[in-house]
Amino acid sequence: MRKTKRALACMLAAAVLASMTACGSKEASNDTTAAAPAETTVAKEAKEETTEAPAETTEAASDDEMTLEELIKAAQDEASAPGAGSFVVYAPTSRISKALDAFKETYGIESEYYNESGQDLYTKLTTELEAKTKDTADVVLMQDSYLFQTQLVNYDYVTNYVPPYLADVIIEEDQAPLVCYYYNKLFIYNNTDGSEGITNIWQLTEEAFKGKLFMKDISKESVNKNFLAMLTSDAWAGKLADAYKEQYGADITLDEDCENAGYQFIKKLLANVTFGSGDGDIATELSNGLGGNMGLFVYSKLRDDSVDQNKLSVAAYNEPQPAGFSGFMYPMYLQMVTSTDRPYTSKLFIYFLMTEDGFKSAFQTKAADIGTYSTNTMIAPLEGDKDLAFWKECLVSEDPVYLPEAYAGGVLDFITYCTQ
Amino acid sequence: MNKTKNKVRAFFSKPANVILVCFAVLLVLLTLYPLCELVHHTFVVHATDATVLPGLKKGELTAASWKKLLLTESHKYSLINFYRPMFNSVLLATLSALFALVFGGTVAWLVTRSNLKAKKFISTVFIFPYIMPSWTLALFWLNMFKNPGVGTGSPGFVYSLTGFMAPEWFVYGLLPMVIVSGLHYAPFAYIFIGGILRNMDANLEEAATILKTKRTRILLKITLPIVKPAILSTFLLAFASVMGSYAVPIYLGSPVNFYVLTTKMKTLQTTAIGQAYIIALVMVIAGALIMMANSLLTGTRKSYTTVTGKSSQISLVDLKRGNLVITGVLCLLLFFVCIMPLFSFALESIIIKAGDYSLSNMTFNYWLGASGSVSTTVGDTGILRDPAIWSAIQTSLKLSVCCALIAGSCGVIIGYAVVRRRGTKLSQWVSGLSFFPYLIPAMAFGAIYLAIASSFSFLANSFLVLVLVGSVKYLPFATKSGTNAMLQLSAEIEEAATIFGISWWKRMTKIIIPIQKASIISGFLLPFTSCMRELSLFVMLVSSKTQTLTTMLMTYNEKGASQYGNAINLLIIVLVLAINFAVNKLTGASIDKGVGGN
Amino acid sequence: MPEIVLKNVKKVFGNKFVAVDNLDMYIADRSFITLLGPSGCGKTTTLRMIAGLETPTEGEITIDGVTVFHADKGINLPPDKRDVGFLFQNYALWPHMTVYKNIAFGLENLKWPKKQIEERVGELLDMLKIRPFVDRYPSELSGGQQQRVAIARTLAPKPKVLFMDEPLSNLDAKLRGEMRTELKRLHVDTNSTFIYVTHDQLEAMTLSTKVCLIESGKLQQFAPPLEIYQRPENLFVADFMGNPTMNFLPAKVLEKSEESLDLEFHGRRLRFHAGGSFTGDVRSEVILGIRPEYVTLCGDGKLEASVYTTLPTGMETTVRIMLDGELISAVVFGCVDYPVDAPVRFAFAGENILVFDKESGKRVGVGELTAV
Repeated sequence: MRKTKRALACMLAAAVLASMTACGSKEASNDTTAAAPAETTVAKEAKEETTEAPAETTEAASDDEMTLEELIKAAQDEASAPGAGSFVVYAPTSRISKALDAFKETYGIESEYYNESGQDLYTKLTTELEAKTKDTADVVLMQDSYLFQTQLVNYDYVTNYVPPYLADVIIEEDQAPLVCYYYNKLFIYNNTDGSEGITNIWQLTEEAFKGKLFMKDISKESVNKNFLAMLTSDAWAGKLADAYKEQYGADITLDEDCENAGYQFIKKLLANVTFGSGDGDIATELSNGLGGNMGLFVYSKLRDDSVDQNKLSVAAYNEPQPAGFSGFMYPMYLQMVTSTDRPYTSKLFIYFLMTEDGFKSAFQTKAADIGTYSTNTMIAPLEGDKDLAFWKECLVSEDPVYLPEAYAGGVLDFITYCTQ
Repeated sequence: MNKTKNKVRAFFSKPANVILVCFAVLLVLLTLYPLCELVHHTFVVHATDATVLPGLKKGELTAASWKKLLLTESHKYSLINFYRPMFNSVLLATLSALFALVFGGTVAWLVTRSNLKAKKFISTVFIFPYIMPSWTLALFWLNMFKNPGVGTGSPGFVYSLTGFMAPEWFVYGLLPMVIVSGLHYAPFAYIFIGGILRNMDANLEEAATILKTKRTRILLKITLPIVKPAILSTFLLAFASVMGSYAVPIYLGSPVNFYVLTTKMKTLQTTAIGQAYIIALVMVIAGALIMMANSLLTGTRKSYTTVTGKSSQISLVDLKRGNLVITGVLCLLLFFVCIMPLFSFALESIIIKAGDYSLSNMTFNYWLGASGSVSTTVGDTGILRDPAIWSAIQTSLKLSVCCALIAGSCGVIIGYAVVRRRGTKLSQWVSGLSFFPYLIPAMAFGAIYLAIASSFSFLANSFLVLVLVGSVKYLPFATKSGTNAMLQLSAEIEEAATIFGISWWKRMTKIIIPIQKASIISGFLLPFTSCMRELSLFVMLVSSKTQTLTTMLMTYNEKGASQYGNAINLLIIVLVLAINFAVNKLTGASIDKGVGGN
Repeated sequence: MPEIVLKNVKKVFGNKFVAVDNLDMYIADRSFITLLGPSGCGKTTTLRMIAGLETPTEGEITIDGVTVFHADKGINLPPDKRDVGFLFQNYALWPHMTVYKNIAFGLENLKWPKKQIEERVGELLDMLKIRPFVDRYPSELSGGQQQRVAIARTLAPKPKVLFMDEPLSNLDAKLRGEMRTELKRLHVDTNSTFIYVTHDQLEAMTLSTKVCLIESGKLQQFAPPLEIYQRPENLFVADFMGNPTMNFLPAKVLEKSEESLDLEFHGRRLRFHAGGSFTGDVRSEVILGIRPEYVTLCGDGKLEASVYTTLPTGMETTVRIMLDGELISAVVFGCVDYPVDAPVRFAFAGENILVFDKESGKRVGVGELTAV
């Protein structure tokens, strides 16, 4: 007995020791990948200029010639091939499970998913890809352009694939990288005391809104940070400066620590903001709370049973719309993992999610599912909602190129400083 | 040469030594190694760091993260991101631990040493807050006290009922955080201090009474010094736990810009993970310092905690007229913090629009409704009709049982070896090491184990890795209760069997385990309970096949489907309570027995 | 022939505490040895080392000619290979087993046939008069009954050597007396070697064939009880054995010859005549060791003192007398009462007056003492 115990302990010890050495070698391989990005980004840019679907130049060419039927066949063959790994999708929303059910129903291919809405999704994915784990994601649905760019694209962990069968109907600017759909977070206010919201975004920075403005803690959700960071870009700083002039009739004067109107806006806005723990809570509380309160949260919460919709109004629907912007939107990127062992299944799934059937199976299952906008122009917005073009006009949108620049420039330090 | 060989052989002829050596090696690998990884990570440039720290490439080794976090003056970066949160964390942890001590200790004293009424109710219910996930109390606090004067202005229970408007400092910030965290960990104090008070020889106090010492003086000069080791170890546990808690600060602190290390760590995870690891490391160091202080202060004197005399005749302090008042206030308070949340969750899980408690606004559809019966951003079926929930219940139970069995068994074995070799360096080392996983924040622990698991295909995304990480993380509880169980058992009981040549295995299974059955099973309950309500540890390690109830809960909470959230919350609490109750009825084991009570 | 030999046995605990230092002992077959000493002196450690429950740091132990422990050769037989029984201070009965099971468990483990076990257990139940309790659990028994069960359990496999660690210390005085009688009888009946640890010198005196007196891990004297009583090797042994304790009177040596000493004690002249030559150096100061029974209170005694207190026990009376601030005990047979502070005369009787060297504490002579 004692002997077997000892043997067991030795085995365990050996296993963990092995893990240590494995991690050591992982470190070594890091170096090569770390050196690579500089070249690949250049290469990618070049590629993007020439073809729309980068990577796998030769194979991609032959794929492009594949008919949809051939793709389906190839995907199904993959699934039934001996030793086929499972087909896994990582996404920040649990709704992905419905899409996978529908996918199975349509094509008979089994799949699994993992969902987590924060940074943990990236940490898990990159750790697994780095370690070359076999059963990691094949397709990812990712939010947060900053993390998407800096953690995945920069290291070539993902490959863009635009289904040729849908290339005409997908909005062109959302094809590289492919955006599956957008979410929006809107300024929504409690109208119970006859409040009519705002006509200019700068009104939110005034004393009257102190403690009456609510958004989810930026530490809990990174897209909120991205939104603020985007305001410091030249384009948005310019629009904000214009709006300021429109509101107050004079050019904006900047504080010493504010480089442009964007910084100035953030500084004044955050002084008024109270952070909530989640969009759902904010929506519910806002509808139960005092008139005139303003929230910035996901549009779809408006149709939640627990929210009294009649008490809430969307600032963007006011006539005229608030000068400046009415909220922000963020893309949900749909990408194939470069190292996937199920490339055809991945492509088929991406195709499926971009079709009306696929999209609706998960993201527009009922009339209440507003606030989700497919980049497939054939999919109409739900009743009471506007189309993507409308929102792109009046909302701040993430720029995966500007965001890393802004963060490197320390915009986050500034934002954190302003929250105190 | 021959002599040392003989010594080694003599050393290993004792099972306790073999166990200690095995676990010393195992624990170094399972806890010190992750710790080294943690240190290593603070010097590595990660993908996120590379963009915030210009000029560095992913994978490089650098101290830039340290410099940035600790020594950046522009925009008060270091102050805002490190020093102030650290101060807040220490302040919060210290005050919460003190509150837990005073509250738990007082109740423990009242229950063991006075003629208080309703003792059974009080001692049963007092453990509830610990069984509930810590954020539930925070949510409950908000549901109770929010009012038109604070935040969004939506009315809470107390306001709706009485019109009382609590000021902001009462609803958010340090005070409610201290109260909520303190209440959550008060059961520690109750269990540890109560356990000693119950075992303490009443003669010690009686001797003083005869010398005409005043009651208060007896309490201060005799009772308190004797329970001091328990007080210190409670403080350590509560302090370390509060340091690592995330949910309470997020709900009660962030709305008023009260940040602590954990909330900052979570923020930095997305933008500068290297700095997040530094914060994790600081939290480990803080915990380790407290642990060292604890062992310095109690180490040599711990022996007198095991005084067990004929404590059958305890003279109870007569509370006189105060009795009914104290009993009443205490019962009311416990009802409020222990039972009310359950009702509150039940209620919140059936109302449709928040704040409207009329019957027309209620439905059981969030529990039982068919597809389409409700409309939320997450789902449209009652949770009990959702196969995903059922599979999560299964996973949670299976996982918790596995972790409890593994951690519990290891705890018994380690406890056995540590007690048998008490006083030796090796034994001290192993018992110290086994406490370490408790000090590493769950978030960091999960991240490190993700890295380890990813390197092995049989571990990655498997159920096994959840079991592994859960077992290691909860080993401290199990070891503590295992050690306690063994301390109560005299070595002679085992030696009497050794003389007959009864093998070690048979001694364990036929003598030691049967005698200490209740204590040992109690040692299994604590990892089980903790595992059932753990989130941060597992969140990155689960896969679609291994979703737990808490990861489901998180999904629902994130999406603001509060009815589902409340329903699952209630489900978790009820499951844990039911299993604790069943185990207690079947075997006589209970959580308080596991951690040192009797 | 289960004789036990200890050679140079030493035990050092982890914290450098020397529990037993360089112990040599020869324990003859069928003897009843008592390890006696104040608490913490290392006696229990010695017992546990012989039994195999504790591993010595150095030295050699043989039982019945078999080396059971040898530090240099790396021999260390486990307890069960030493064919010994062990009776624990707090009995260490297994609380979850009945009396029957407690006694039978060890035998089952030794693979005895079932029938034989039943016979043996029956035998022991009768021998120790515990048959009525056979199906009870230990917690349902009184202390004395538990003790008997523990003895039965220990005796069950018929060990050649029986170790007992203060087995009677948890019993009340009356029960202790009864058990003492039975233990001594048991020693004869079982025909085995007993090694008994106690701090009670009376127990050691009454029970054992040989007493081993230990202090601070060092062997002080290893001899039959009466010899220890009459001829203690040093002041410690003399002080430890006997109740009331021996009188120690400091005295100055005025003159010494081959076999006698002229002494001064509080201004009084005494003469000591040794039965033989002195066994060590006699320096200028000595301590006289006088058992209370050798102090006789008699009208014609040459010394005078006053009565300090009288302690009658019924059978005898201890009288404590005061002489120039020095208390001296005397034992008088029967019940005698002296008024307090009354003057009393006394003398020293017998040939067993001891002389110890003050510096080394060693006994240097035995003989008669007379006042001049």
